[in-house]
Amino acid sequence: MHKLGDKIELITRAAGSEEILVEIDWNALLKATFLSEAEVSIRTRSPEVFKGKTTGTKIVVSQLREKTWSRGEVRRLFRQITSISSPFSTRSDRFEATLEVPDHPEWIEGIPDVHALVKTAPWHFHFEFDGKISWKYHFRGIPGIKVEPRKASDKTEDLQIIEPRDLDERGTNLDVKKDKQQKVIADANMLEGIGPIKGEIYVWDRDREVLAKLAETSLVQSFLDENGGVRVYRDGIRVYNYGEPGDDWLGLDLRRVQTPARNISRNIVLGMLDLSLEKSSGLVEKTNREGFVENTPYKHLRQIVLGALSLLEIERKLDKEKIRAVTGPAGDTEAERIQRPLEQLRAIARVHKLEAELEPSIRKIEIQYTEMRDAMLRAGLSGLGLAVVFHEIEQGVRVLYEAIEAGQDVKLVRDRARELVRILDGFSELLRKGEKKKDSLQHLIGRARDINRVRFRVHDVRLVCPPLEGKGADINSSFSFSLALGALNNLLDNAFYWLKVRWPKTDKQTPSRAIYIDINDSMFEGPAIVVADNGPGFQDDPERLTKPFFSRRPEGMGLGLYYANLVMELSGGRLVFPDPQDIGIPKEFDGAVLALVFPQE
Amino acid sequence: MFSAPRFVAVDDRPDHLEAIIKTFQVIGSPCMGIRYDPASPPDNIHFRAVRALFIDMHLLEGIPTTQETKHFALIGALLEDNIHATGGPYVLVIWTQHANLCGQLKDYLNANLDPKKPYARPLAVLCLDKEKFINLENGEPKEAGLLQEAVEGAIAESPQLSALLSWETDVLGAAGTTLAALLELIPPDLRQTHSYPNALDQLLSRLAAVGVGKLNVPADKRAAINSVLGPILADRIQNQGTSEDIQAL
Repeated sequence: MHKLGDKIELITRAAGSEEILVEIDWNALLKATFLSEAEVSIRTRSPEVFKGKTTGTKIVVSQLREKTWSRGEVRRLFRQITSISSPFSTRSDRFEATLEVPDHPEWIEGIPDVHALVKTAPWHFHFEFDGKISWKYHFRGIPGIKVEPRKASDKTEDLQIIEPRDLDERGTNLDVKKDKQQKVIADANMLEGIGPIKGEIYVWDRDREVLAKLAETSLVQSFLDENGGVRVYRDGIRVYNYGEPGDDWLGLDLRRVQTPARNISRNIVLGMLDLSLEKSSGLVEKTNREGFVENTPYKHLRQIVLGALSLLEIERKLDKEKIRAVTGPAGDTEAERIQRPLEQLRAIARVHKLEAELEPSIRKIEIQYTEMRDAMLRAGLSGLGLAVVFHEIEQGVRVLYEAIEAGQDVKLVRDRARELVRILDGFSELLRKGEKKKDSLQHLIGRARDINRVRFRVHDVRLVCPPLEGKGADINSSFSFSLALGALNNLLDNAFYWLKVRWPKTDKQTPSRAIYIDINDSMFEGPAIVVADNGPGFQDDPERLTKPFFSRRPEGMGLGLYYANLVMELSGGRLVFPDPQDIGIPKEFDGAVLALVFPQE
Repeated sequence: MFSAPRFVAVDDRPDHLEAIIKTFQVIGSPCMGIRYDPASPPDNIHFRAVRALFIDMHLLEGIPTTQETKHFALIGALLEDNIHATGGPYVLVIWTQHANLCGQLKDYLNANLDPKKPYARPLAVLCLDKEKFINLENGEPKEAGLLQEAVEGAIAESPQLSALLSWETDVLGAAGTTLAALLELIPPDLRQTHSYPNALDQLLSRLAAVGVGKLNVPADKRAAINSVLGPILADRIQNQGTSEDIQAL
């Protein structure tokens, strides 16, 4: 306030009290030689402003330092002031902040009302977390795009969270010591010092095809440029600077660089979190108005909110895929589709002098992409969902471009470029290789167990595996050992994770988490390795489960089952999701059941 | 009789493995290269005296998945299965194209290596970025000597290990000079292939007899020889020049 003007007058009156007048005159204060001579006048008087039973506080700032205010500045001030109070709070003590500009009322005309704008958001998500999460997702449809609106919701389910990153975007180390076992489920203990969390999140889309269909496109875009992000309110009052331009407290932009086709960036989201002032005593505001002190409750708040956002992102991706299917670009060949984003990336890398860092990866992406496409065409694999992989790579390259443009950390950009190369590497290897040899399925299972031995021990997972206990005959098939091992490993990867979701706590003596691996030679057209667990099981159909980049894990890449399926199909087998009763696995394994079916010898 | 390699490198890509081995050849020290084959675990005999173990971070093929834990767990299992309880300290050098993941791997190993196998824990985990040193396509070193410097630098990064390695080298050197001094007692004209074994036999017999008395030699011939060579070796260890690494400690 002192930055605004040299003279400040504060009049305040509490119920049943006299009126208090505080006068601060910076011109007079600065003339004083010693601090003891600098006086601020505070006096009590009979009510002059708040007469009768009225109470309140009035602050008048005069002798303004900035004499001329431009229209733009006033409009920015308007946005700031009107966002102090939560537009969505339903609290009884809610208040509204307004700004009037008597000399130029036209300056603040036409500034979009948040309530009206959020109605244009195609997605709305509401969540409440009090130890369990309940959420409502609503895709409201986009005019002119033939994708049906869709609602989804869930009540009182466990909230999956992820290990916090070491540094948040302000460079604060949030996680000094890692837990021995990574926590994957949020519980009520994490709310200590935070209290229940509610969130309203609106999401837009900036894909050209979608944006063109939205009403008031430019208004929405400029609103999101200024206001995009996730704000925090306590008892309806905003906590700064969360959700301000330049703040990315949840690291949304960073996450998007890592998983571009799923995660939402700040410039398409308007989110508001509602906390109770009384119950969130563990969240301490910094004096410089730059958010909360980065303590444990703050770390937990981020984890919980990111976990909730993941639920939104997973649901949104399902609708985004449908939108892409009807609006997808036609005409461009695959080579052109990647070439353009790569050229743009090259150009911006040159401008920012990052050629040395990025050129090796760009060149590799170019080569691998082409090789992979050729191999795919040769092998007639167009039906295996590789188009989605191509799309992800293109999207990844575009996001790298945006990340450089936004001045993201070079190291992050370089690492992400290498990650894209790794994805392509993995697939080209798969298409190139496939050198099959006769080997035993028991041997394959044994190696998978040995390789994962540390994980079985660390996660307290019991392995029930008749073939390795000398039960049943060994069976041979022809397959590429390393690829099949990769596929089996991916199934185990999933099992380890989901067992932690269903059984967050475990006891070393009587481990509740268990995995079952067996060989079945009678149920399918060829011999099969059956993998089952006592985790939460699948909630999606097989077709969706084997789609690339689909995952219900927060920040999951969603390539595990897709890869396993691809490996099996390329070796003449398949990945199936059998009915547990049909293949006679023990009853305790009531979670996910999968089978890698190998071709008959 | 054959001494165990002190430097061991494990990689699933033969060309990348070759790059490390070539570098050690330039340094003048042998490095045992083991090509990782997921179908058959490596023989742990090769790891029995390892001092610097180079392991590629991603020994398993396949596409990247959400977490790297399967790769980390495999490295953990390799250490638990292959590092010998009596093998002594070693440093783990992660040799990777994804140096950004090294911190995670370190944390994983710290938290998850079997507490019942404390000897499997490396003294230090260091990281070398493959891309800096070799052409990733064919494993050719980018600049001669660069990898050598990094390997030396990686070991020097742990002054304690450096000092222990130097001490061990000094002891091996002292054993060599002890044997050389022993052979100086054999006149040059007897150093012919037909006479050398006999001359050596005589020398060892006399030393053994001097050491424990002629009548006691047959009871334990090895102890008899040790009683003579031991003090010479100890003297050589004590009085040979101290290496810089140990002085730096």
